[in-house]
Amino acid sequence: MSTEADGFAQFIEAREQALRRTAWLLTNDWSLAQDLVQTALARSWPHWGRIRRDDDPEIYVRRVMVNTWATWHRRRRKAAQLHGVLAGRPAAGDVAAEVATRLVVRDLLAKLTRRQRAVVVLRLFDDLSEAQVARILGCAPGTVRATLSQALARLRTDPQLADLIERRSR
Amino acid sequence: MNDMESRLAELLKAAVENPPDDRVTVTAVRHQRARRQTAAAVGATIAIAVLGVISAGLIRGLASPPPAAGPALPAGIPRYYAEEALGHGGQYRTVMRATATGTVTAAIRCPLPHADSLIAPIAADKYQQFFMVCYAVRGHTLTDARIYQFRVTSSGKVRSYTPVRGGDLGAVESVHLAVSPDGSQIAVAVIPSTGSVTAVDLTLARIVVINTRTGAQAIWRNPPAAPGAIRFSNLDISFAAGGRKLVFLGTRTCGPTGNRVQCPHWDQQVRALAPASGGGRLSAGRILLRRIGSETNMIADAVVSADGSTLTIVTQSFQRGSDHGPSTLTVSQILLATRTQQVIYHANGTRGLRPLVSFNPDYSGRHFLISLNGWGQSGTPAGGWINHGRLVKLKPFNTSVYEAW
Repeated sequence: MSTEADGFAQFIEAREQALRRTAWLLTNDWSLAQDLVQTALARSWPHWGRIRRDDDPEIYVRRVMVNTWATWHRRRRKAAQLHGVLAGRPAAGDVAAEVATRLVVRDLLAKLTRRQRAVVVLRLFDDLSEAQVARILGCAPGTVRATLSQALARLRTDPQLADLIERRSR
Repeated sequence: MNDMESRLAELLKAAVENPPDDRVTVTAVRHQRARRQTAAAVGATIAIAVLGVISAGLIRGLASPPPAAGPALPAGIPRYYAEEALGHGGQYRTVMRATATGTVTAAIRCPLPHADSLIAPIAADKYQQFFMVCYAVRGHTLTDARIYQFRVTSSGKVRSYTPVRGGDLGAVESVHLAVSPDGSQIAVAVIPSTGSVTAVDLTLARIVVINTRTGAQAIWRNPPAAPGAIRFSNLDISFAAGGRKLVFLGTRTCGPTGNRVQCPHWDQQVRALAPASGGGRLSAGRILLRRIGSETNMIADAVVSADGSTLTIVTQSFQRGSDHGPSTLTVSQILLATRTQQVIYHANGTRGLRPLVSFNPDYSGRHFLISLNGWGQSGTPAGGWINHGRLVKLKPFNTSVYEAW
């Protein structure tokens, strides 16, 4: 195996789970999340040498992932609405509290626009800087800040969120 | 980060704390890349070929025939399914068909010596590896049942028939089959034959899980008849959680042989077993769903989704005293964590529907083929795959007796 291929394999080994978590927060579905990560990696692989040389691989793969998700989102919006009951299904073996958290988070994210959702996930869950999120989404850092602020304003008044925060703090 | 942002970040992290085991691997990424490259190359070649064919067709006034798989199906719907139809002379004919067009892409045969024309059940894993049960016949007696596997190519051709290790079932009265998503385990619910053609002991029903790599078997049985013993008949099975759970639907039976239910109530239960436990009693399974009621409103089938979160049940209601088939058939999905139930398909038959012949999920347990084409029965036939509350009829319609993908 070449060094380049080695590097790619190591990246997958190290980052696959984190990428899949981000992908779930975008798609609400573990199978789709797996498909999304795999697709993003398959699209990134041919350019791996250049990505490592000129770019941050983590940012590049996430950019491909978010763009792919946006494309899928447009195509699958109708099907997703009809499949509402199946989307974001809790995994087997979940305990009740975990399931409740997952369902509320799923509902909360569904209330956001596509861009707001991506900003919330990348900024708050992945803990990326505004500049990094801006590079992934192809916008200005100021836009990231404004979008996050709008998303939080929308969620702040949500009774489900308030209820869940209160329950978790007990 | 302000307080609101920190709390939201914490919730997001809690929501994805336990991702499933299905990891993305380097091999899978490479295969996907290879498929994309092949598809691109094939696409370019096809585009050129199609342009040539269309040009030639236009010149000759002919249109080119559609490809076997036909138009695009919704995401996740298997492109091919196995169909069994009753042909002339009472012989069954089993073929692969394209889901979208109904085009026959291959014939399926049993490699077993003295094989009967009947091949069923059939089930597939996520790699389009199909498993089927073949029967050997001597005179009019089924003497042996054996599981074989075969691969279906991307163009719907059938390749590489192989006997499954540990898949020799002996003489049996009935078989249900389930395959784990990766094909490493198959489960059969069987009633071994006792040689009697008039008295089948339904309580001999057992579930056998076979490791397809080693041939090792784990068996779950009913306890002997005794007061208070929990025994089941009419078993139906499906895998969940990547093969770590096996879910079965059983009907409580209180009679000595299960030929008559004889329980105070009609009692159907869906329970989960752990294949890793190596076997034991069916009653050791954890109860996921229990329906106590009447035989006129029964669960005909139950299938768990591959991730174990959703149970799909088929219920049939019959009018008491009527000779007709079921008056309604309902397919519902239950989210096991919240017990939320949603009807995904419902059919009414004023003169009765034909009885349910088969209800088969794909490997994910999310897409279903349903057949109510029981031959020689009055009533409204129905068959196809469920798509957002509608039944998409298979082509040709009303010729088959069994379908699986």
